[in-house]
Amino acid sequence: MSKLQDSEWEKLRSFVPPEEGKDSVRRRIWKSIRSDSNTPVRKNRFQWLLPFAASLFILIGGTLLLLNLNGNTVGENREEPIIQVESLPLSSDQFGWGLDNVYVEKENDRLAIYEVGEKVPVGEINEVNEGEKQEIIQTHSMFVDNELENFPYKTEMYIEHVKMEDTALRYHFFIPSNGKWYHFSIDYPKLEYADIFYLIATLKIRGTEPYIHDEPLYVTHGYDSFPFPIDLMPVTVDYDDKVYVWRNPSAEKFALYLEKIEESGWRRVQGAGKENTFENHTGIQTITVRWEDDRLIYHSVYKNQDE
Amino acid sequence: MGKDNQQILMEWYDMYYEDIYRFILYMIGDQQVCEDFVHDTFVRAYSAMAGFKHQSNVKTWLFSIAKHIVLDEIRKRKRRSIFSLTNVFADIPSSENVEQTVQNRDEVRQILTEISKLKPNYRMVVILKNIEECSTKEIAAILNWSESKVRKTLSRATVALKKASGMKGGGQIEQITR
Repeated sequence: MSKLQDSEWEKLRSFVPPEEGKDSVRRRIWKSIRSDSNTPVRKNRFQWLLPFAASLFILIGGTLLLLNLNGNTVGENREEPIIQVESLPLSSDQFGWGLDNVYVEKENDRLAIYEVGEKVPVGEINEVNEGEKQEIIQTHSMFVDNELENFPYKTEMYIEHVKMEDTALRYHFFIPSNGKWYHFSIDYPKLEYADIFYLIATLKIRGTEPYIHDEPLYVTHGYDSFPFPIDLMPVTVDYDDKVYVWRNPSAEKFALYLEKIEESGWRRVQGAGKENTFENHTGIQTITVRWEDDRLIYHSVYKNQDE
Repeated sequence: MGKDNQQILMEWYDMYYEDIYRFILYMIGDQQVCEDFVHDTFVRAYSAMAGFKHQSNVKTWLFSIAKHIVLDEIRKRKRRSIFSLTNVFADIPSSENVEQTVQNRDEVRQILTEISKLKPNYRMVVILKNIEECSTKEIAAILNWSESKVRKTLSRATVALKKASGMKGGGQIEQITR
């Protein structure tokens, strides 16, 4: 070879390191940064919210019909809801959702989304036209582009990788609104994955009836492939241990959930009943899911990890 | 530093592992130490997260950390063969047939050999520009150089690489590196 053509550069660009090596290095980094940290276990900032779980169950249980992400085939074809809402300016009572600990405050032409007790907003809502929407999509580092099927309103979701210390990912949700779009941007980890999706899945826009889906819905968190039910409330969330309140548990829903996990490419390697372990396609990561009363408890393990 | 930063760091790892791995691999040419240096890059990033604000983006910042690591290593290897090409591309593409794979591997090794003949500064700008497709501004941030210095160094590196590859005329390199 005597020429450096673009095709040769492309070969170098397209080289992908072995997945096994990535998992191996991930384990080492995780071990290193954990041993480097003397920080006590994260404060359970969601504990005080537990009493809401029961009331939310009662309030929402009959009306919240769970919706689906990732092309789930559970849902049947449906007529898209017609969005008829007011034009600008947005008002703080225009939107509602099932998260009592998250509220909005009007700030100029946008609505800032706050979590109770926090001074920094976790996101915002504004209204944009098609050109502004495209500008947002094209000028930010969007890594995921999905349409959320069977959500209350036709919803396009983009995940932006944000270059900020307190925000890893910014979720952008676009909902059509009389030729414009409601644009929700919500930051992770300011708001935990489960809360972000629950907010969107229980969204109500004043003057427009939401579509209510009557089958369980699942979403993936971040870039992962492991599905989670949409109706979770975080209790404690660490890298490899996660505890959620499952707002509307049942044996039937748990069975459907286990099926969904396997449909998503995770192989059941152990368990039956309320505790089951699944292995990813590389065989390196396993996740154990345990249903315990109103909790779903997850434990993730990387094989061959030195303890 | 709490759990949130650990989670953010691992998110960054998932996002940028391949970029950082490629950069280190092409700079050092040794796949066996590459994983060690990727590890060191992200652990250093974790330790320095408190000081990371908004002056640069995460990818640029991680590259700048990796740069220090590879330059340290190159200095250590100064008296030895810097670019060993040990086990490079042992796992090259699974989706292509064997003949194509072997051909690609040979071509890739040849390109890497030519890049390895460049001095480290030239190698860095060539890799960042042509392989990682960083902008001049981003390269300037990573290397802590002025944009003018990046352009000049890139120009000289392009000439040097052209000589190394035996290429006649201006050709593709200049189009790519413009």
